[in-house]
Amino acid sequence: MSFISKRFVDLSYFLQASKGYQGSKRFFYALLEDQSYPYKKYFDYFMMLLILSSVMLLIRGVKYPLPEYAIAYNDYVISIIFLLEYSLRFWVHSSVSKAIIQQFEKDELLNKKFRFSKVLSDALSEKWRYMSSVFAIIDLLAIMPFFHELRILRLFILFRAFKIFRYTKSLQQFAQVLASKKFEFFTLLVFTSVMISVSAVLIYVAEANNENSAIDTVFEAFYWSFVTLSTVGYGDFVPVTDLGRSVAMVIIVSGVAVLAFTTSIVVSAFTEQLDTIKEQKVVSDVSKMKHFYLVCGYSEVASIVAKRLFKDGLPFVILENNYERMLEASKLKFPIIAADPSKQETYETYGINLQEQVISVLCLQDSDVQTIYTALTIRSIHPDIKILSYLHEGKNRKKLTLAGINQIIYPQELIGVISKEFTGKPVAFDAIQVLRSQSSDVVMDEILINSRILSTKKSIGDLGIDTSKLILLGLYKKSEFHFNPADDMKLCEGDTLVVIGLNIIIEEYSLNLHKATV
Amino acid sequence: MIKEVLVFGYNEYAKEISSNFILDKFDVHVYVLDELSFQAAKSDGLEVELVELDDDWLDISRNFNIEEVICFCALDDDAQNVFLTISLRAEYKNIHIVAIATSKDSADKLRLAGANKAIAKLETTANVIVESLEKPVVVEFMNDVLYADKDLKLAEYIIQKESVLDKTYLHEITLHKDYNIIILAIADKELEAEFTFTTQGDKHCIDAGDVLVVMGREKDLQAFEKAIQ
Repeated sequence: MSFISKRFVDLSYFLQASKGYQGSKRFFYALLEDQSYPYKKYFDYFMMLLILSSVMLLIRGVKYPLPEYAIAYNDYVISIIFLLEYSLRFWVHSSVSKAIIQQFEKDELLNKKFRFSKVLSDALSEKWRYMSSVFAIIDLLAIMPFFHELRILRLFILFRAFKIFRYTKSLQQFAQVLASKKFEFFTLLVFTSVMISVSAVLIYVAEANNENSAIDTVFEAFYWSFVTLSTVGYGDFVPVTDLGRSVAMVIIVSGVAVLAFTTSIVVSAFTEQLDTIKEQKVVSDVSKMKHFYLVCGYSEVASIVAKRLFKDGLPFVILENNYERMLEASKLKFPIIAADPSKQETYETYGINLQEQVISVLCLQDSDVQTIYTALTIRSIHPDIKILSYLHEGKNRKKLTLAGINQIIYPQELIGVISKEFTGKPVAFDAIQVLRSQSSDVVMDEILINSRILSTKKSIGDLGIDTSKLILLGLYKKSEFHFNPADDMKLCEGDTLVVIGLNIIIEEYSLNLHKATV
Repeated sequence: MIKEVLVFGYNEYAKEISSNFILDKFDVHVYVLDELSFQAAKSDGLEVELVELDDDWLDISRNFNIEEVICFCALDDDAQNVFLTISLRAEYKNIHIVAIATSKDSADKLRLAGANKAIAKLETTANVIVESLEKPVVVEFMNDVLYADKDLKLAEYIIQKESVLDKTYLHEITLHKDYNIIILAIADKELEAEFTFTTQGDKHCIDAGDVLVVMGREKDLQAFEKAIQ
């Protein structure tokens, strides 16, 4: 290995091992390229502000002289920021040091001679791939006004407007959708070019020597062809000969066809990509959600649960791979991802972080078989997450428990006990149903005793329940319920009060308990 | 006072209903529409009868005291359940009917057909699921009080004319404190199906016939019941 190759390998290992270097690279990559990075949007807003201010200065400068500081801001400050951004994007696009190390280790393993020149050329061609991308070219051109002494380069400020594409997701999506129809657009371009060229030549031949015709030059002939084919027809150049008018008729019909073809390409591109665009939107929305309930399956029960969650303003995301059900949920504007909840890759693909984002999982699928499979997938990703599940057949209860489901709702059992309870005490049962009903003003609710409340309220007597127009049913202390607790019962952090009262009074009472420490 | 429980149908819901009442020593009679369900109920040791949906149901009054009967319409098909409910109501004005429906829509139809109570399976289940997410402690508490066989109970007492609580105001009652009882609500006999909760009923005067809904330990409840009579 040559001296230079060795130095490069050493440097590569040094950079790969350097926490500071790798950390900064990760940070800048996230800031520039990672849509899920929460601070990226602020960076994007900042860049868009720079672009807008630059374009506004350009417009202002057309008729009025700009002050010196504005010129300096436009030519130097913005350009330098753009140059920095370009350099950082160039840096984070790929890792030369990583490529060198990989090649070096591979060659070492195979007892081959380390081909430094090859790896360097591969790494540089990767960088070139970035530099030759449309966005990178626009970025580079947007820096050009820095060389403002070359007056022509000032026009490159216009490229700054194109940079907006980079920071606006919807514009990017628009471009992506159109890019999916490259072949059709290329065909259309060829057809249009041929039509314009042929008609321009014909109109030139027919009109150029006619004294009454305004079309004198080849450029004017092309201009006329273009304006006519686009169906705009300014009327500044009009054919006067029979041949010229015949050409005009042909080109007008072709123009209508071109326009119709273009429209149909754009429409079909959007129709085809609509689901993908919607899905991308949901994925992006989900990545922005801090906490949510994950509903696996959109069964009949799940749809009612989703409606309640939606109505109560609780965040949730549905995973369902049945297309018709997905459409049904989409119509109700529920956040739904078309994916199988029982597959591990679903959570990776859609960036669902069970550990950080999901409060609890609701397995509400159509069968116990699906429920168990999904529960085990989720358990394998996150062993401690709370899973609540619907049980279809009583005989499968043990299997669901073994699959790690924390709470099982078995409707048959539920209806059975409700029926019995209703028969024994119909009035009391109805009273409880009213308390549990969403439409009732009087509700049963819970208030968690936290350190803030505890700093001033040490016992039940301190809570002032007697004067609050609330009924205190009891207190949960580490899952043990103390019914109608005495005034001298001590409060601890994590205790929960179960109270009955008017909704607004409970809210106000809870606020006052917290406020009392201020 | 309910003594006889008539369950129509023998699916998983009917099984759960039957077993809950058998545990509480009620007489459970099952009526089924097909041979398969008949055999299933019989093999579970239940008293079962094979019937037709368009039966005139006169046997019920011959065999039972209608005042002491509660019917559970738990057939699989909602339409059949509605037909059964309306048939029973047509024959017996005072019979107590509880019907199990798939959805809220079917439950509404069952109420129109004459069911005293219609339980919508889907909505009830969904409500329990959401409630256990929003208010887990309340759900745990309700399970302890309503469903689990624990000492703490809900009870309801009809206020008699000779009761010490007759003609008293809700906010004046202090008797319950001596028995460690909480008064939750009162159902006014004049305002059918309306409750006045103790948190809002300062000016409510209790009359004979009103139903007092209370909560307490079983022993305390018995003592309180004696005290108010």
